[in-house]
Amino acid sequence: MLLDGTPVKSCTVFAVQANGKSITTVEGLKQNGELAPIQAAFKEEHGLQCGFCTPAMMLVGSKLIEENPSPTDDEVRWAISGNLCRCTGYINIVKSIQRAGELTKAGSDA
Amino acid sequence: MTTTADHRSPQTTPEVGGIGHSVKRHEDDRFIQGAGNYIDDIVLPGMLHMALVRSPWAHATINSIDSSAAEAIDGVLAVVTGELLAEYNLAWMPTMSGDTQAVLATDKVRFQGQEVAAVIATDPYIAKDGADAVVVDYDPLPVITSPLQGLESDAPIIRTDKEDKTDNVAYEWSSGDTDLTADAFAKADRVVTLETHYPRSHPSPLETCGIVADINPVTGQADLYMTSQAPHAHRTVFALVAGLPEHKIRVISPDIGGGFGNKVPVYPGYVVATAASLVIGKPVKWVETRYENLISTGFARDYHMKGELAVTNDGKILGLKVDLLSDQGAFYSDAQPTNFPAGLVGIVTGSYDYPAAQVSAKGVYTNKAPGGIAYRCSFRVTEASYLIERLVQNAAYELEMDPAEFRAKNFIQPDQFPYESPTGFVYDSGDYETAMRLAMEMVGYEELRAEQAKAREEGRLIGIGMASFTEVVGAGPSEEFDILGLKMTDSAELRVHPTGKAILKLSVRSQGQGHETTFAQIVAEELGIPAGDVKVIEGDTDNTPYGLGTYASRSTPTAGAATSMVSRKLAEKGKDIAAHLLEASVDDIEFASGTYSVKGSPESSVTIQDAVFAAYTNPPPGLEGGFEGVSYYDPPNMTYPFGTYIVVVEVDEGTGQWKVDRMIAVDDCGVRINPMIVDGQIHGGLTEGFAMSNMQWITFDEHGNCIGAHLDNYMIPTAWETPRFELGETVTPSPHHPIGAKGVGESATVGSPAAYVNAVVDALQHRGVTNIDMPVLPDRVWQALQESKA
Repeated sequence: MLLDGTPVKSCTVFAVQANGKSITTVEGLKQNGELAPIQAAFKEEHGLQCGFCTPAMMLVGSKLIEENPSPTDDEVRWAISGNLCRCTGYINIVKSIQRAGELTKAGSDA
Repeated sequence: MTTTADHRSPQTTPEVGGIGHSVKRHEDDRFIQGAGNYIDDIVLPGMLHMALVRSPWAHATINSIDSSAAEAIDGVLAVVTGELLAEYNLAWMPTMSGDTQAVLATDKVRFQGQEVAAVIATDPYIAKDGADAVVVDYDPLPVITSPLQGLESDAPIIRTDKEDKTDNVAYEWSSGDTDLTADAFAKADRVVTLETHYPRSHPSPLETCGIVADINPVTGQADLYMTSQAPHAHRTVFALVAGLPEHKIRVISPDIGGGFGNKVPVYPGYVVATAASLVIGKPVKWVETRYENLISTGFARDYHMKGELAVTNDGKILGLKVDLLSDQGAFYSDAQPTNFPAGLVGIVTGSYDYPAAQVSAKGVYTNKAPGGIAYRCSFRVTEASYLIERLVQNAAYELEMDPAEFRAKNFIQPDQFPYESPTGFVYDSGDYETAMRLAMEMVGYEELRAEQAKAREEGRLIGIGMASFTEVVGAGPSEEFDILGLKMTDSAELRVHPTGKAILKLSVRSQGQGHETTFAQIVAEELGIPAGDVKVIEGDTDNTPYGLGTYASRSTPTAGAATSMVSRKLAEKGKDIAAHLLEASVDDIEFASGTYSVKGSPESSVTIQDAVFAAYTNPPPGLEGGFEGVSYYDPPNMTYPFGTYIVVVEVDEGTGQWKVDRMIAVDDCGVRINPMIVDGQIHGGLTEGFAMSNMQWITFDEHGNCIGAHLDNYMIPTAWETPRFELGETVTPSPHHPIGAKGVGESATVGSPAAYVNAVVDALQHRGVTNIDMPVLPDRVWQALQESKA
C-alpha cells in the first residue's frame, strides 16, 4: 500500500503508525471511475498472471513513474526488487510500468 | 509434420479473436482492480479459524498431548488430536499416489513440521496462541535424511504404520529393455557417466494453501472452498476419505494465487478443517503461513540420478542406462498416475534416436516432508530432461565435438514421427534441428564460440550452455492413465444463449494461465463467436463437468481439445437449424468463420448467432431445443512439446559467481492459441528454471531440521537477479490434437535448468570440470575450480 504516497508493506505497519495518514490500496488507483494508466498498462502488457502480486506491483510502479515517468529497465527492476512474483519472470511487469509512464506522459501532455 | 507459416497466421478477425490472436486477458479486469477472490478473501458468517500444532522433531514417538492449557484460552473452542480423528477413522488419508498419509500424528511423527494437533478458535490469532499452548511430549528417534541412508540394512523403519513393512522402499519401477541395452553398451567405444542430484525445491506459490470448510449441520451439504488445482478429483477423495456423499460435497476453487503443482495434493489441514466444521457445525478457515507452506506441503525433485550414455567415437549415441533414487519424504504423496510410480521419467531418452535404454527408479521414505510433486512439470519430466541434456553436453566434450553438432547428429529426424522411444513413448511430432538452428542463429553461436576462445586467452570464463528438450504432457489416454483409478479425461460444457453469448464450463482450474481468455479463443476459432462473448467458468464442482484438473501442462491437451470437440458438435447442430432457416438440405450447408451458407450460393447464408437464436425461437420440427453440449476428451496420445534453450554466462573466477548474459529460448508447443499468454508462460518457466539452477534449495541438517522453510533461507528470484529472456518459436502442430496445440505451461521449467548448468560447466570444462550440482551456488563453483587446479 502507499502510506502518504510512499510504498510500504502493510504487514509491517502498525495501525497506530498510520494514524492521521493517507492510505492508498489497489482499490484507490482508479480515478473518476477510469482505470489509472498503471492498471491499463498491466493489462495491455500482460503484466500479471495469477494476479496475487499485482496490487503491490502496481502501487510501487505508480509511485516510480510519478517520480520518473521514463524509467530504464534497471530502474524499474530495482524499484520492484522488494516485491516477489512467481508467474511472470518480471519482464512484462517491467514493460507494464514503463508503458504506464508513457501513458501518463501522454495524458498530461494532452 | 512440417513447420509452416500457415499455422501462425490467424484465421479469424481480431474482433472475433480466435487462435493466433494475442487477445488481452479477460480475467485481468478483476485483478487490476483488487477484485480477485482468493482463499483468504472468503469470509462466511460465524466462521471459525484453525491453527496447526507441528512437530519440531523429524522422527519421534509421541508420548502424550496435553491440550488443557490451550482449551483454557478464551476463544478456543476445540483442540483436535490424531486420537480424536482415529475415533472417526480419519487419522490417516489416502494420497494421490495410492499411499497413506497421517492427517494428525497418532503413533509418532515422521518429519519436522508434521501436523500433530489442531486448535479451533474464534479468531486466527487466538487459534495460533492455542496451538502454541498445546504441550506434546516426544521421545526422539534416529533420523533418516537421505535415501541412501534409508536403504542401509540397519536403518530404522519409518513406516511402522504399515503392517509387515521391513524396509523404507516406497516404490520400485523400471522400463526399457535390459538385453538390448547391454548389447548397445558392448558395442560402444566409450561410456559417458554423470552422477548428480536434482535438489529438493519448492514451488512456493505466492498464495499459500488453505481451505474454508462449511458443512451445513441441517442439510449435510459440504461447501469446501479450497486452493485446488484439481477440484473434481479432490471432491472424490473427500467422499472416499470422509465418507461424505459426493453429491453433497461442493469443492469451490476460487482464484488461485499460483499453483505450480503445490496445490495438487490433499493436505492434512484440509481434512482437519472439514472434520472440525462437521463436528462443530460452523465454517472453519485454515490458511497456511509461508513457513507452513515451505516446511510441510508438496516439495519437488530430490532425485539422486546416475546416467550412462554409450557412444561411438564418431559421435553416435547407442544406448542409455539410468538409475534413479527418489527421496519421497515420510509419505509417498506425489500425484503420480497409477501405472507410473516414477512419473514420466522414462522420457529421459530425450530428443535423440537410439535403439536401447533402461531406466530404473526406486523411491525411499525419509524423515523429510512428503511430496515429490511435479513442480511446474509433467510428472518427473523435469528431472529426466535435465539428466539427458547434461549427459549429451558432457558426451560432446569427451568426444571433442561441438555440443550442438553432437545433438544434431543424434536428433530424431522429422520424417521419423510418430517415433517410438526405447522406453515406449510414441512422440507425436517434432523438428528438433530447426528449433536448435534458430536458437543458434538468434544467439550468434559461431561468433560466441570465437569470443569464448578469445576470453579464455584473456583469463575470462565465458560459458555457452544448451538444452534441446522434449517433454511429454497432456496425460493422458485412458488405457494407460489414471489417478486413484480415475481416468484422466477432461471435459468442456458449452451453452450458447439466444442472443449468441456463451458460457463455457471446464473441468480444469487456472492458477494464472489465462484460461478465461485462451479457452474462449478456442470457441471463437471453432464457432466464430467472438472470444469476448464467451464466459469461462472453472473451479466449482457443482457447476462444471468432471475432470482431473490443471497440472502437467494438461489443460490445453485435454480440456482444450474437449472445448474444440463440443464446439464442433454444436456447429453440426447449427447446420440443421441453418438448413431449416435457409430452406435447403442439410447436406448442402457449409459452415466457416461463423457463417452457414448453402453450397454454391454463398449469398444464401445465416450467422451462427442467427442459428442459435432460432434454436430457441424457431427450431426445426423434431430437433431437440437449446444450443448446448458437453464433451469428455480421451486423448489418443500424449503431446510432445520441445525446443532449444541457449544460455551464455560469465563466471567470476575469484568469487564463483555467475551471471547470465543471454538467455535464448526457442519453444515449439505446436499451435499457439494466444501468443502473448504463451510468451508469458515461457517467461515464468525460464525464471523458475533459473531459480532452481541458481538458488532455490531446501535442505536438512543431520537431525532432519529443515533449512529452507523461510524466504530468508529459501531464495527465490526478484526482478533484480532474473535474467532477461529472448524468445523464438517454431510451430510443429500435434497431429492428433483437434487444433494442433501441445501445452506450454511447463516447457521452460523443464528445459531450462540444464541450459543454465551446462553454461556454467561449459565455462569451466577446459579446466576439467564436468559437473556442479544444483543449485550452482558460488561456493560450489569456486570449489570446483579449486579442485580442478589441484
